[in-house]
Amino acid sequence: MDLMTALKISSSGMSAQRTWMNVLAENLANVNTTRTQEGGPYKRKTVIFETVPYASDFDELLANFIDDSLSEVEVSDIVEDGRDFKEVFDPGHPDADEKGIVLYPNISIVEEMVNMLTATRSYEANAAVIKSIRAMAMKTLELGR
Amino acid sequence: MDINKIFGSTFDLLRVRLGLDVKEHELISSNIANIDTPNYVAKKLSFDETLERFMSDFTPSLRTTNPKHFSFGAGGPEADNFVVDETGEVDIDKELSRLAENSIHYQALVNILSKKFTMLKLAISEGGK
Amino acid sequence: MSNLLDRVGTTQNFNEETCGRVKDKKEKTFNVKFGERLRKALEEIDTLQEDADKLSKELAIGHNAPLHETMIALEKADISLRLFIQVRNKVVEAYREVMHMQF
Repeated sequence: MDLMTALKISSSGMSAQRTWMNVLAENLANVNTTRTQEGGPYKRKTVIFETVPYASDFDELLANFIDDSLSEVEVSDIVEDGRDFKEVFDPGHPDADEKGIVLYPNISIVEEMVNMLTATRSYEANAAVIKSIRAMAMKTLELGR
Repeated sequence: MDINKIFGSTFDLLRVRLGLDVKEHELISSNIANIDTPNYVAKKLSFDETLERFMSDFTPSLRTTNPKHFSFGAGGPEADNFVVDETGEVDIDKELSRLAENSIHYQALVNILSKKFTMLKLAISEGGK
Repeated sequence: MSNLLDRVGTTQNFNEETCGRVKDKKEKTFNVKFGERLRKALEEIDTLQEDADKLSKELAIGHNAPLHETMIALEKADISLRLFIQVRNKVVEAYREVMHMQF
């Protein structure tokens, strides 16, 4: 129960945000991928953030009151977007069907870029917390000097 | 001769308040980590009049017996009593400003405590001369 | 008057034995009172040292000890020890002065 607790929580936040950014980067890289190994176009991926109640170890849990006000975060799942694919009329495309329609991933570049900004901002906010904790801890170490 | 008397109640008050500031910082970090978590409700310590009254009546602590209960076993409040749910999601700007404020407040208290210790040491070493 | 004289006794009573006894008694009172106090204070200081030690150990083993509590406990242990040393020095000084008193 300490500043170190807050540090762990913030670092979990940074990890989660970084995972999200990786997923977003993958989406952006595959915005025009019509062919995948499973067949069919690339399916847009999205992350699920979930709270993880904070507990450093079992000992502490027993010894102290159980504190459920603190939560770390994790990406509990990376799921595929279930929305329909984008349909583009392009008969000359090798992946066109009988009607000349090519299915593209339903990825909006603008949407993914906005998400990128959000993830970056959240990542930096967590980094700000860690910075402040470091300042506070260093100050504490100087008590009485 | 009670050694602890030389420290006085201010030291204890500062110490307990530092513990609460740590708790607040933990809550802020929890809020910011979960900034994109759906259905997460932001939390903070509530400094309502109960806590304020307690703080002003604060009396010096007795020696704690359980080492795991330092901040709160020493006659201080359980911080859990004061954790309050905000209405709604995490507001990043509010959290960041609270972060800065809490950080400064904590460091200020450490500064004060440190100075008091230093002055006490000075009084002890120079006082008898 | 003569009673008083009787009480005080003759000069032969003012020998080394009686004077020595008075000195002992003074010493004993001094020792009992201050000794008790010092011993109690020492116990309290020991307690503060133990607290600081306990927290330091917890900090060394894991991160179970709150940082500010550990630093504060260390400072308290430091200061109380300093105080005790100063007091002890003064007490010893005073004791020596008393012992050198001539009767």
